[in-house]
Amino acid sequence: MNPTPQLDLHPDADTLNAFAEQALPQPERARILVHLAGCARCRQVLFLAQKAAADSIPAASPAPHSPIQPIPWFSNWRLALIPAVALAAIAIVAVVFSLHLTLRDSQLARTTPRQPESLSNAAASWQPPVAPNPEHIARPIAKKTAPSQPRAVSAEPIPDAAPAGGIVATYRSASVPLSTGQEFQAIRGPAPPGQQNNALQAWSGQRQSAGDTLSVAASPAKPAQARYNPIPIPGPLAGRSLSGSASVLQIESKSSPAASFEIAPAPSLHGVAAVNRGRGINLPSGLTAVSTAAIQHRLLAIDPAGTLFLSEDSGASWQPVPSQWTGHPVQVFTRQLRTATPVATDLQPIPAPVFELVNDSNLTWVSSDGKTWTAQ
Amino acid sequence: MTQERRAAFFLQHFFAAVFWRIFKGVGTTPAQSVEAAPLESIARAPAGMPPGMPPSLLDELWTECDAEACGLSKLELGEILIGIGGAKSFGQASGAASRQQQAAYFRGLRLADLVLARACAAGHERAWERFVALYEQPLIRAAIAITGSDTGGRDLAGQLYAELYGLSTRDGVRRCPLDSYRGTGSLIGWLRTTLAQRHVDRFRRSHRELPIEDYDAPAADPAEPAEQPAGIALLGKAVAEALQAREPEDRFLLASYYMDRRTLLEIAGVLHVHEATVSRKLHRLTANLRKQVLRNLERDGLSRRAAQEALGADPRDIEIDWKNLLQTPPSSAFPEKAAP
Repeated sequence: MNPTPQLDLHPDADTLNAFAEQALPQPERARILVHLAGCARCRQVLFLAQKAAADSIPAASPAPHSPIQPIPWFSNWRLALIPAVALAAIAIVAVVFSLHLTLRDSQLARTTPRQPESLSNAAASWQPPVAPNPEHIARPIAKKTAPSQPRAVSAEPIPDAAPAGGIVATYRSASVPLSTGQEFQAIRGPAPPGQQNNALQAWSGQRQSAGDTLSVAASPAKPAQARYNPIPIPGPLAGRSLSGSASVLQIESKSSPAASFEIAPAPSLHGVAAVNRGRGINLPSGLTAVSTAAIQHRLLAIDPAGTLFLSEDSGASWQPVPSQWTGHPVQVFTRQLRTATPVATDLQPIPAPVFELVNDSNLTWVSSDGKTWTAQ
Repeated sequence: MTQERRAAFFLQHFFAAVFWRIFKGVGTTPAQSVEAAPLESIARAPAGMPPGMPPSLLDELWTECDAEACGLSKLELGEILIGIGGAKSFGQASGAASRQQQAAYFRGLRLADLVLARACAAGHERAWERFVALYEQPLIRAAIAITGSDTGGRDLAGQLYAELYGLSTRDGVRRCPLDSYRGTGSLIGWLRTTLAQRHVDRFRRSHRELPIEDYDAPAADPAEPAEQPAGIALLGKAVAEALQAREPEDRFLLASYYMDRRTLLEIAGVLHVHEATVSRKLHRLTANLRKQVLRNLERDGLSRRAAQEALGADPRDIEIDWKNLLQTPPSSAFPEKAAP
């Protein structure tokens, strides 16, 4: 201990200050504690200096030592919690929806009635109010298959979103042999406004030249802005929609067991919300369905042997349909007739969709219940 | 020739021994052993450098603390550091400090504050300008906080300023308290502690100097003091033994809390622990003290019940010099004699 100017034997100011600032080595600190335990004067000095330090710190540097309220660690994430919770809710809904779809897919597809359309004057009024996108136009592509091959439509879903016009169902058809010896590929996609006129002309020209393309239009939510997506139709249907009195609104088909397609429902539609997935349907004949069609819980399927099977319980049980047609059935469709006036469709009665069967001679039979078939 | 050779040999060794003894003490402090200052560093100490300190270390410290701005030369800084380190044995409890220990001790000091204080004590004008700019207002605020009044605080700060300026002399020599600052703690902390010391000393001195007419001394009791009951005497003895067996920190806690009436927060601030820690320590300490007193009473012949009844005695009946119990003898705590 250094000599101090005080008369008593007390630690000097430097030692006391070092003790208060914990700057002393342990042995010397212990000695100071021993002294402090019995020296009221040094304890008083120590506590007074401590009080002065506590009082002068905020005044000496108010800015850096301003009292800062402790902020809970989660408060910084308060704003981020809102989108996080929203994302979590969306994710939960998506998972639940996907699980629901998976459960439904385990049974089979379900088709609900679509917006009413009538057959009358469909050909006359069959003008697209909006010019189709060039990508919508059926474009000739290189011929890949021989015309003698079985007529089949292979449809697969297009993953992009539905455009704002009420397009419900779009297909990319591949390898469709046509009677004219051409193949078409319908590709959906929004068209830039400047390209619509040209696209319309090209579309009309190709439609006339092809002659085999059946344009399929879903019922639009806004009829004035309805678009029509042409998809290729096999030979037996070629020209029917163009020259006949009715237009086919929707065709759901499946040509191979491995193929699947899905019609995305538009929110504003009243009609079909058809989901048809023919993933390897095993029929009572022991074969796999090559073509299926569904209207609500009623399903039709054709096996490779040409036998038509009907199920009225969403595919749980199948019964063979007695042959009421000639030839060898190769494909089955669902068809919904279109009304003459596409406007104010809410007021029109909803026609029931019908099944359509095509044989290997391109002849067609129609049935409303799948049991009784009438030739067309 | 032989005598001349012998004389020359004798003289050579004589002067060598004299020079060895002379140079051996250079650069060492009274608290430092001879082996602590190697001869090589002394012999190789360049001009302008204090002996006993490597020039590279001195250059580093001199640059670090910006001593030039305060007007201190390297030689002055080296002498200050050597003096402080020698007085404190370079922080070593025993034995000589090595070069590395000395360097570590120097680097652990508040060099900037030390240079400023010593430059002020030496009367350097630039240092005083810096001191006033840095510490004038904090010193006044600290004095006001210590005294509790604006007038008293400014008065106290003015008195300390006068001391720091070296207006007081002793034996004709100007004295500056800043010379006693050794850089162990911060300079502002040293100033606060010095202010507190001055305030406490003045307060205690003024209370001792009461006018004699105001002091009414109690008359001595002519009757013989009554004998203390045996239980009370045993209790006082047991308490004294229990208190003396406690650690210094425990006694400091007891004295601060029960005698000085300091709050838990104040004690925690001094000991740099949490307030709850002080509370827990006090609770545990009093419980242990009670058990120890009971054990001491039972050891001295009281039954358990009698010992517990003795603990219920009025503390005012127990004649115990608490200060002496809580404080170890000063001679063992501070063997050095204070300066007159």
